[in-house]
Amino acid sequence: MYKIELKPHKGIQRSMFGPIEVEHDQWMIYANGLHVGYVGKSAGAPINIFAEMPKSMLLELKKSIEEHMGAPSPMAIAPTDEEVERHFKAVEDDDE
Amino acid sequence: MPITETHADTGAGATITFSSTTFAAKIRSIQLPTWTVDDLEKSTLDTTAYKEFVPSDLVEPGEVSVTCLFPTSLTLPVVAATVTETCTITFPLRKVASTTTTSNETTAANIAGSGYFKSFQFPNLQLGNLQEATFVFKFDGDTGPTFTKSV
Repeated sequence: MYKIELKPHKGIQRSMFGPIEVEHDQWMIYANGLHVGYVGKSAGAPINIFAEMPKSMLLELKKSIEEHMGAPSPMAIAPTDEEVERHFKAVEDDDE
Repeated sequence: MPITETHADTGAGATITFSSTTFAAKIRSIQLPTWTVDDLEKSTLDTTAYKEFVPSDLVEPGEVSVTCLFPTSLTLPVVAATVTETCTITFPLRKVASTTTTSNETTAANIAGSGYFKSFQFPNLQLGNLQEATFVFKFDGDTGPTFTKSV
């Protein structure tokens, strides 16, 4: 089991009235506590992963996105192996 | 032995992502934005030394210029001010001094903000040169841009 978390992507923006907190239109993806990518909030948004991860972790990630977003990107709903290969730098599981 | 994190790092490992556009090009370099505020001269007739200035009110959010390899199978980003999305540049995780091991940080620094693709320059086709394209993403100042330090 991997711990997948989607956290709001927030930042501090300058303004005439001082710094204000804003929330970007995407979530930050954490896998086992490490930030590994982003996913946009809008339907059909791409999932951007910049860390290598095993396929089983990718499946956990898709499940989390599906639960989090309700109606996520088509890829998150029904990913195929081909889509996984295309969108992620997938590596083999350690236990395979 | 304590871990010593270095203050010097290169851009190796940095990434740029978009919240709506799937862009799969290999990045060669990322020119990050310059945040600037205009100068308003306030010198008066009794000013006797240097010109005097005050900063203007609003800050220019800047733009990101990216150079990438150009495979001809590349799906191009849509250059249009009517299509806005979030652009995120993520810095590499900091290295530990004298090694290639990353620090114990879990979240790399990033710059993010809403905006649009302002331009896409196709490569020069000539002998002895890589086909490289250059595109510019303009931050529109709506949400961000923000810089979030690594933790």
